[in-house]
Formats: sequence, C-alpha cells, structure tokens
Amino acid sequence: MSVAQIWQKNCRLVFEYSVRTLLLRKASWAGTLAFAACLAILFPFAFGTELIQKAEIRHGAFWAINEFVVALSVARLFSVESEGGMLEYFLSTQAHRSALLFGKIFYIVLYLLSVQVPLLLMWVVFYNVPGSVVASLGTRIVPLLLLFNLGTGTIGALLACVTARSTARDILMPLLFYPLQMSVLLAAVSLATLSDPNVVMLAGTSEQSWWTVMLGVPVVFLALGVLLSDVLFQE
Amino acid sequence: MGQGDHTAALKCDSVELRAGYRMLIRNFTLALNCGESIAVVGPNGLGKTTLLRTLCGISRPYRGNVYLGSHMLWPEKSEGCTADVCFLASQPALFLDHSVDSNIEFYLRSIGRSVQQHEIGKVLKLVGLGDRSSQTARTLSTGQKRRLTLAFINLAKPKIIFLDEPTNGLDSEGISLCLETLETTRKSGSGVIVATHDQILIDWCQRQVNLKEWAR
Repeated sequence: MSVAQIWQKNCRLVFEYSVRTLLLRKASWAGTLAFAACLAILFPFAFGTELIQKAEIRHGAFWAINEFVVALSVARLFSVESEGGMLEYFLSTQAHRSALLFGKIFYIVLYLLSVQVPLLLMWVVFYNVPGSVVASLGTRIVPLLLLFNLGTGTIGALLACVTARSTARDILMPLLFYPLQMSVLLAAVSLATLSDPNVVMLAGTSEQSWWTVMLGVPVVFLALGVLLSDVLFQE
Repeated sequence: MGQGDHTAALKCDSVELRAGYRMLIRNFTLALNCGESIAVVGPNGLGKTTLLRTLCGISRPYRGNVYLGSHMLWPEKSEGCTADVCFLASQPALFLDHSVDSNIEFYLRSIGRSVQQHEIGKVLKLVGLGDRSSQTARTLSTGQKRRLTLAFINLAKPKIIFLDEPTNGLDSEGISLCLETLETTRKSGSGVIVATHDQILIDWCQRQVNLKEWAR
C-alpha cells in the first residue's frame, strides 16, 4: 500500500471515529445546539425588539452565535482522544500526523454545519429575515457557512494539534485562535450582509477582497498543516 | 518475519532524555531484534515511560538517533517510516464511549490490519471478554480494559510493541494471560519492550535493561 493510500485510510479512520463518537455522545451536540438556540432567542431581548427589525444587527447576531458555537466546539476537538489516551496510541502507530489533522478538519466542518443548519432556520424565524435574504440562503449564506467552517476548522484544528498536549492549552487556544480567525469572521459577516440590499457593512472594502480572505485562509492554513505536520503534537 | 529473523527492528544510539531541564538518561544505546523481548527496569522517575514514548515516536529525545528498521525516526523522521508499531500506555488507550468491538476495530484499522469477525470473537473469548463485545469500554473494569488491549496484541501482532506496566490492574489469571499473549506475539516475530516493576514479567523477558546505568 502506498504512503498516500495509508494517509487516506488514516484520515478517513479519524474522521469516521470522530463522527461515530459524536453519534454516541449526542448530548454534547444537543447541548451546543441548545446553547445556540438560547442565544438566538435571547439576543432580540438584549437588543430590543424594535432594533431586531433592523438588518444591521440581524447578520451580526447570527455570526456572533456562530462564533460561540465555534468556541464551544474547537477547544474540545481532541478531548475524546485525549481523555481515553487514544491520541498517544494513534501517534505511536507512525500514522502521518497530518492525516489526524485533516480527519479532524473534515469532522469539525461537518460538526459546525450540523449545528448551523437548524440555527439558520431559527434565525430566519426569530429575526424577521426578509424574503430576499431567505432566497439567497442556498446561494450565499450556506456556501459562506461552509467556507467559514473550513477556515475556522483549519485554524482551530491546527492550533488544537499544537496545543493539545500543552499544559497551557486553555489559555493558548483562545489567545492564538481568535486573532487568526477574526479575518474569516469579518469576511463572512461582510459577505453575508451583501445579500441584504439595505445593509452596507465595512464599506470601502470590495466583495472580491473578502472572498479572497474566505478562500485564502483555509488554503494557507491547510498548507501550514502539511508543512508543520512533523511538529504537530510535539511535547 | 520468522522466529529466526534477527534483523534489528529498533535501534537507538546516544539517546539523551530530559524532563524539563533535568537530565534523565544519557548515551543510551539499544537494539531490539525481531522476536526479542526486553524489560526496561529501574526506580520510579528514572525515565522508563519517557524512553518508551521516545522510542515509539511520541516524544522527541533531547539528543540521539532512533531507527525503526532501516528508517530514521529521530531526530528527523524519514519518508516511508510507517513500521507497524504501537505503544500501550499504563492506562489502556480506548474510545470510552465505543463498544469493545468498535475499539478493537479502531486498533486494527489504525495499523492497517483487517481481521474476520469470528477471529475477533474467538480472541475476545480467550481474554475473557467474549460476552462483552457490545459493552461500552467506559463500563469495563481496569483489568478488563487491559484484557482488551491484550486481545488487540493477539489479533494484530505489530512488529514492535511498547508496553508500559502491562500487568497493572490484572489478577493472577490476567497476568498469565498477558504472558501467554506476549509469548505468542514474540514467537510470531514481534519485538517487545516492556517497562515494568513486575518480577514475573521481568523474568519472562529475554533481556533486561536497567536505566540506572544510564542515569546521570
């Protein structure tokens, strides 16, 4: 079997077992969704029901909730493997470490999307989302969510690998993650608002620039993941 | 890979290990042949576990070279270094929410083995887990978790096995089972390195390496 085939098998194995663990531990997924739902319900009260009619906060609220979901998910990306000692076992099998990284990236993209799809429906209902935005869900918001998840998941998984076995993980993760991920968040919010004809956010920056950020971040961090794979999980 | 094959499965030379700034061992040299068993002994805190973790590629040594077969593992891992090696820590590594069967499947797939279901059932029965294949790993006792890892060794027979205190939590029957499993695996050509304080296990090993000799 070639090195590429072994890599592919290991990547698939990590992804498959992460998904299977998620299905077995439904409570953590349901908990994240319940938390996101609470935020979606509470935000209108915090901003005032009149303000919620305004498009300015509609998009910001949606992506802010997404950011909370990301915070809950990314920090715990390797918790299952670390808890049972499987991370060390897997590292000892000489499996390529980037296979572990990529398996986890695919998993986190899927995980975030599984929370975001029901959240999107709640958002449409609770935030009086206009028809033009609803019509663009499939053509703009969902692709944006996928790219947001890919960018966020790539940065998150890479940093989670680096900090997985560090004693300062709880401090290091947010310190490193948020400054890097902020560009993806800003790009996602800006591009999402373009589907709303009445809103102009972060004006002065072209749509193309934000798309470059959305597409460029995953590419850069995936490449970094491959280049740094030998030092991932290094103690 | 037969019993008479004496190609070095693992070699290391001039290895220096540190815990933070504290030196544990230095100039450590070892060669493990296929079908050989070595006991790594020494007082607590001397670096037995750290040594095993280094030799299997988890931790980086401060200095020195480690080779798996003809491939370099440390300081720079060479391309194609994919020897089937596994490290079984003092706490059995498991997906706690998964069943016994699912854990065995992961173990086997992670080193590219595929074994028939009836073979798995037979080995689980042998290690006393025959009726627990669908039980969640979290609900197994420490000894049963250890038996599960023994089932994996029995099924997979990796080229090199690193075991850290493998008899911890096992009853006398479990210890006999552990020795039987390791003996079968060794005879099939696997190299076995065990870090242990258990005299029965030390006596079973063909060679002993006392880390005191390399301590600073």
